[in-house]
Amino acid sequence: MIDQIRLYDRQMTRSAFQSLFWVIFSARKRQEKLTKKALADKLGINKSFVTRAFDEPPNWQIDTISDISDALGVDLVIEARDRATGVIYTPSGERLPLITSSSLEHVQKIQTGSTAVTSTDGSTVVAA
Amino acid sequence: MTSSATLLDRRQLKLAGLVEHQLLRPLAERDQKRWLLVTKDIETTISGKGDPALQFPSFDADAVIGRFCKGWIVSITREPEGKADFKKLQAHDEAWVMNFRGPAEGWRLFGRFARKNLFVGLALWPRGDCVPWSVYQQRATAMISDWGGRWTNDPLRSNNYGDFLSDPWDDRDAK
Repeated sequence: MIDQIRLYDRQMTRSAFQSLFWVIFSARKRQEKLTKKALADKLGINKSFVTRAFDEPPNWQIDTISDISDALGVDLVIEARDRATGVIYTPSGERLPLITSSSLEHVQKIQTGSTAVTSTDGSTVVAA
Repeated sequence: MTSSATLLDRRQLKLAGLVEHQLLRPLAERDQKRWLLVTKDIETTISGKGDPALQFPSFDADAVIGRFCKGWIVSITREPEGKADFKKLQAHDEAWVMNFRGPAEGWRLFGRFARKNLFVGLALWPRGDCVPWSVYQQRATAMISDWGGRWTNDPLRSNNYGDFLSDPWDDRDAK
């Protein structure tokens, strides 16, 4: 069971990049008539690599992810969300999450008594 | 053109006994963009609470469902031999199949879209029990009959994939 969860997590991480790049590629195709061949040329690779990449979630190296991001003209923004608390971790530190009312109770349980709750733009913000 | 006269919603489907599949890594509500509802028997099987010999739960099956539910890219084909996450059967009135490459030889979940981003799985078969193509078609016909026995409501009907799925999706036949 644990192995299946690990394999699932790996597959979903691969799929996240595949789906992300598909969304960007689709936008570029719409905006700039970008083709898979043109993207492959920017990457200095064969078009079949690009086609395969969108057919099955690939196990890309980080360097490949960086190259594709560059070829598509985007900067990757990396974040991680704590499964238990919702805290967001970024390469430059951590921040408390914007949360919905449905998850407020859960977060309140794990926050200390110094927690203050405010609402902005319809979202509930929990701040220490 | 979309028919949306008397479409079922999640609440109605749950009242009728259908359940949401619990993924290997449960989804936070905020991450869910699309929904899969299945019969309790199917959920028992794919969640691994049924016969252990069937080798569920499976990361292969759950990754397809996970991508669908998170609103990530899913692929669609109408071709009988086409390989994609979803197959729409042309000879039937809104018969869809969600394809799992695993466990084992693969599985096929026959169902229909109750409305946009809401897929209802009513019949789960091992891939090997869906051949030849005539048997595959029989499974689809049986699923449609099952739907008709449960509800008088129409399924979502359209010729445009965008009416069934929010972006992103990949029409494999368009290449």
